[in-house]
Amino acid sequence: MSDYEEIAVTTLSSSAASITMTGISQAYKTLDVSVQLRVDSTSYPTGSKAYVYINGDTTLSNYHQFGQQIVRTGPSNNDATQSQNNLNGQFCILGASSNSDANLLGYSRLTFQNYSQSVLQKTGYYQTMSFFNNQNNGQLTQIGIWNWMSTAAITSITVTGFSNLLAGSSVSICGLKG
Amino acid sequence: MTVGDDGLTLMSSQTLTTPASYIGFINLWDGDYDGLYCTANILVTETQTCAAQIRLPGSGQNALILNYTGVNNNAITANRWTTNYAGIAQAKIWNTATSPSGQGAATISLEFWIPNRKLGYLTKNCIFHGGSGEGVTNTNNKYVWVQGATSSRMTTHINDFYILMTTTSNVQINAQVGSSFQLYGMRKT
Repeated sequence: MSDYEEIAVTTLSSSAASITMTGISQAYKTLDVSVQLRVDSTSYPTGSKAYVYINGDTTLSNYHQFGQQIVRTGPSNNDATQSQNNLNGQFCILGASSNSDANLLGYSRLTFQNYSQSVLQKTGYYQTMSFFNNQNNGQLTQIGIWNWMSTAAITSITVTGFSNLLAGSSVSICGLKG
Repeated sequence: MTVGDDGLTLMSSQTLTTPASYIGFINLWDGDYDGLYCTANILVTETQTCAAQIRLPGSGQNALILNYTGVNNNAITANRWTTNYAGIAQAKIWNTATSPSGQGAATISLEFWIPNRKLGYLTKNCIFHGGSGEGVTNTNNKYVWVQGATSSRMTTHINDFYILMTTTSNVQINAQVGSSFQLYGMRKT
């Protein structure tokens, strides 16, 4: 019996503004969340973004994220390594833009550590990647840490696209027992 | 994370009810797991730069190899830590926050893998990443993200390791109540 279990999966059969996972079990120590997104937008980089909201909290100033990113805007451009932050508030991940190759999804992995306690603020890691503009092989990868400035136990996670999330987009939550 | 067919098995879980300067995962001999995965969520209420260190066992004067890249106040830095330590290999996850104390403070998040820990003829490596941020009462926006690898340069099994909280000069400090540490075993498939 593994101590790493799938809790819930939602996959869109048609486009929608967001995916919400509610009633998340409090029986685990850490959540390991995989998100695959394709966003109905061709603008870069804004159009490939999606925002993560916890427990329905849409107050952006309650969220921070910080890390590094590598961006490749075209085959003749040098890859650029940059710091990446949203210190003024938001928890943002990426999907594939609708002008990337057909049937291609961006991928994100998010961890929610110590998510069920109600003493400490919530922190975790994120790794996220986007594809955009298939003519130029655009790619963007980010890695870093996020912080939700609340001590509340996490019971729901919402992923909302900058534009609609296209069919095939999914959120999968696995729990690690502790 | 790569999870084999047998998934992850919880080997140890510790949540601090009193402050502690280190957490040990020791005597793992009986664990029939080829790989180790560890996740930790650590509250440190220092007013100085501090770190959570991963310390793997070594033998004698094993050299330390550590490479990590860090982000601090929008500056990307590359570091190679070459100091020799007797019998340990270290990885440091920095916390630059002059942290507010008590409830609500932000925490250090730490995650690492030690693959092939029972393979007798290879040196042992640890892949890690983690970071920290300041709490709600601090507005200096000091966040850190680090990632990298460390090697113990030993070929014997990894049966013990420690997570140690220190200052920049390796003076031990405490992880506070509520800090949690979980160790999982991964079986080769």
